Amino acid sequence: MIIRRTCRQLLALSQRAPVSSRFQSTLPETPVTPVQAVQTSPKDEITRPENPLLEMVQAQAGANTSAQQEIAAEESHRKNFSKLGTTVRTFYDPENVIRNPPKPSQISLEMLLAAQTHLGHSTSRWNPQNSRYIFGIREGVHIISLDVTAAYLRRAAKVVEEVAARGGLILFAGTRKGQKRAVVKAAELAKGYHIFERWIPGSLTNGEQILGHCETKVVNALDEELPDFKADLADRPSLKPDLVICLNPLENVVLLHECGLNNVPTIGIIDTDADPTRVTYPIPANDDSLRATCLIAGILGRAGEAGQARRLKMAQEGRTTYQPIKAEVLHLDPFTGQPPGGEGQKK
Amino acid sequence: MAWHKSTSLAQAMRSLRLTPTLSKPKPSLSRTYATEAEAASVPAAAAPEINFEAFTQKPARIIPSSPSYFSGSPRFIDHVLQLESLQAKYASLPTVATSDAPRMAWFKLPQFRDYVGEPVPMKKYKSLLKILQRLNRIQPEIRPNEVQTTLSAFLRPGNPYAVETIPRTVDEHGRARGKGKRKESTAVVQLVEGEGEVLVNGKSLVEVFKRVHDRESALWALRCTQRLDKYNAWITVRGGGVTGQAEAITLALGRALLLHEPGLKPVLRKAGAITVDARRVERKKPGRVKARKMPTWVKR
Amino acid sequence: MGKVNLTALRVRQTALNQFASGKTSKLPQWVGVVGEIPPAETLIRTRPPQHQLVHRRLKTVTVPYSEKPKVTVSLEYQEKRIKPKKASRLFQPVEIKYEEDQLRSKFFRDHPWELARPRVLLESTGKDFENYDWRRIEQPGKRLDGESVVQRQLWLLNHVPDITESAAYDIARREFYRLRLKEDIQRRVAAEEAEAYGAKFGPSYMEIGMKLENEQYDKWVTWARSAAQVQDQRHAALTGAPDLGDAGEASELEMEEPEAVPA
Repeated sequence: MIIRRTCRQLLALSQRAPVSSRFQSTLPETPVTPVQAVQTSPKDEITRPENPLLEMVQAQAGANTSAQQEIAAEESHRKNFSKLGTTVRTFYDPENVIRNPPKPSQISLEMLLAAQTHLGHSTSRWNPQNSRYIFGIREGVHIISLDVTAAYLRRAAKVVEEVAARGGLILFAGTRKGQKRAVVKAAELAKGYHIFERWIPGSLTNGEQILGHCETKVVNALDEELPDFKADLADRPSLKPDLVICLNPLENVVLLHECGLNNVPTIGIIDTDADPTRVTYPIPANDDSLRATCLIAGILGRAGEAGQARRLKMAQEGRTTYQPIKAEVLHLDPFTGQPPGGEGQKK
Repeated sequence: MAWHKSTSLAQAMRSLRLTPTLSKPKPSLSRTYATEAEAASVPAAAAPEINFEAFTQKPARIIPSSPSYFSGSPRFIDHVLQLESLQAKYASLPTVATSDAPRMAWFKLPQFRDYVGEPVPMKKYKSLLKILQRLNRIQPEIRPNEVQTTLSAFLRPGNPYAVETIPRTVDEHGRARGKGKRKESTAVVQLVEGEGEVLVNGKSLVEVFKRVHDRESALWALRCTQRLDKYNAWITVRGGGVTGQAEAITLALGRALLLHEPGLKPVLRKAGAITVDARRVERKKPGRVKARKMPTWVKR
Repeated sequence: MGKVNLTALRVRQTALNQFASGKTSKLPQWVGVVGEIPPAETLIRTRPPQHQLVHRRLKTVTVPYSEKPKVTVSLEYQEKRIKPKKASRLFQPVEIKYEEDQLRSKFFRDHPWELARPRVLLESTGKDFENYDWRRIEQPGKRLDGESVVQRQLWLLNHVPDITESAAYDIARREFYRLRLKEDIQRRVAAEEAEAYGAKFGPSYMEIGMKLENEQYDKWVTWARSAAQVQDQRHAALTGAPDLGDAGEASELEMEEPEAVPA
């Protein structure tokens, strides 16, 4: 009987199930990107970190204490018997979206749906400026249109990639509880910068006071540090990001306001209760679900990674996509524009 | 906004002249967006040789040293992230109880502030200490070198735990000495085995403490363990008022009794005889009547 | 709408103006990027998507001059006429309605305890629906629950000619009940087997609950006894000098008093 049932299940699997009609209504409207072609199973790329125990025990080959021997024995035991028993193939790993975020080319409506990016807020809390992103009302909650989310997310990913390719400083800001790892990972991928605690008001408008003591460095086109120019970095104004990505614009009003004052483009996740005009590139999505914000941060991080790779590849060929700072300009005083020795000689 | 100015026309002309610099860059063949599907990689033709000596020595950009530059305290946050990654990496290693972990003298907050050179708040430093303590709990025999070196970076110079404190005992004449403080009073008790005689500053207990409650509380350590008639106490007490003196004696007596009979510790702890009451009178502040009381509000 | 702050949307224009006026000496690196990929038009209101409820049914129609009846697909639109909207509500999103909503509410109205069963809402890929085929009620990778009945009934309504809603409901329900019964039997047999092999399941939740309740009740009884005794004593003291028989009782109470106090 069991065999019969498994046969039936196999049959059911092999028959391509009819796609529900409501998905068909949205699918053709999405921008035509060959989503299907790229969707190799993301499982292929999963590289689970090696067990540190094994690594460590191998490193300390001469296991001299009893505890070390015990651990080594346990590890070898596990290695011998790990192939026995069942292996669970398809399971949901919440870490996966942080450890191995999808690429922008892998964006699909199903992925966004599974990450709950479509859930907005209660209808009474809506900001009417978001009306064009809203698909409808369900159980008193606004549902964000997934195809719009996908389109805006792709657009934002393009911006991140281009800014990264031109050597801009990209700042990822997500100050809600639980967004820390996603933000750090995205910054790591995109070689950007991260903020996961409170944004200190005035970090841009009063940069000398707040960021004055933070170190900077001069790098060449291949991102290698040039220590010869260290002396020229003193008394330089603090750096400003070229692009700010904010995962929770509602709490980071000050950050976005400072970006506006300093004329920095911003990308933000706009829920149905947020103001879309606060950011340059809104991504209409659910900002209350950690899975959704982690996914979006990861995708943007991957986009930045692609841009950085492109920039470094060009640098390998001896070209830059941006205007590099000149050594002579670096030696000049940043405020007066005079050579530093000039005033001293006059005196 | 610029158009409202009288110079707007000139600005417009200037901006017009700028247009060539703003034109779209020519699309290079190598460029693909990450949003596009990945094309099969075409083997690129070998690039011509570049004079790397000059190119790699040329400065290109000024960038922050740390990815946490914009947080305002990049070094501290880098330390936290490094420790957290270590903790996650070695989370599966066996640990020992907190009491069995090796004692480590971590940086005090001001020392840590000097070490990172940033004004780190107390609360954040405490969270960092928590991670350090967790890493320190990894079984010492199998602790990886990586963890050991990282932890040693947070130790304050010198080892305050190297000097072992000598446990105090009863001296050769059978005397146990205990000190106690409460409010402004300080009491020193010399406790010997005897018949229950108590002298406070050379006077009897009844003379010093008129209230029964004070007498009770002064000898509470002996009373709760039913040893009133087994010890003689010579007590010196200074400063403070009557209650403070009585309760200072409680603490001193409890501590002295512990030297004679260490097994009584749980009983004395439960009875509150060796619990230190660290409360002191709060200082008066200017602009206030007492420590906190505000002057009465007067209309004018 | 009030005042709209367009600073964020106009970063590029501002940067160009600042450069043109000489405020900044260098154009930022992103100016070209924002020019190429302009920010979206956020403030233009569009007509929100309208969702109309559609029922898809198959119907047999007898065709004249033909032996066989023909099966046609009929689409029934929402019966209720949509009220013309007020102008102020023209741009407001509308309720999303699906055909199965009604079926779902009916099922759970009839089977409210189905809502108490645990249910997995999480999806890892969002493509679970691709594995489902509602020609049968059991689905691989899906636990049997109320939603199965609803989806099965919907499939029947959409694919079986001339079926009424109640008939489809009955079919789906019957399948559901049968499978539930099977599950129940399986569970019971498994428990019996395990017990036969020596497993011990311990007291059930009901037994534990009853035990806790009994303990509390006994505690109350002892407390009530002592409280009643104390009350009696007070009463006796107030009534003053009792006669002989009462004195005996009072002395008894006094004897018992030391017991009552420590309790």
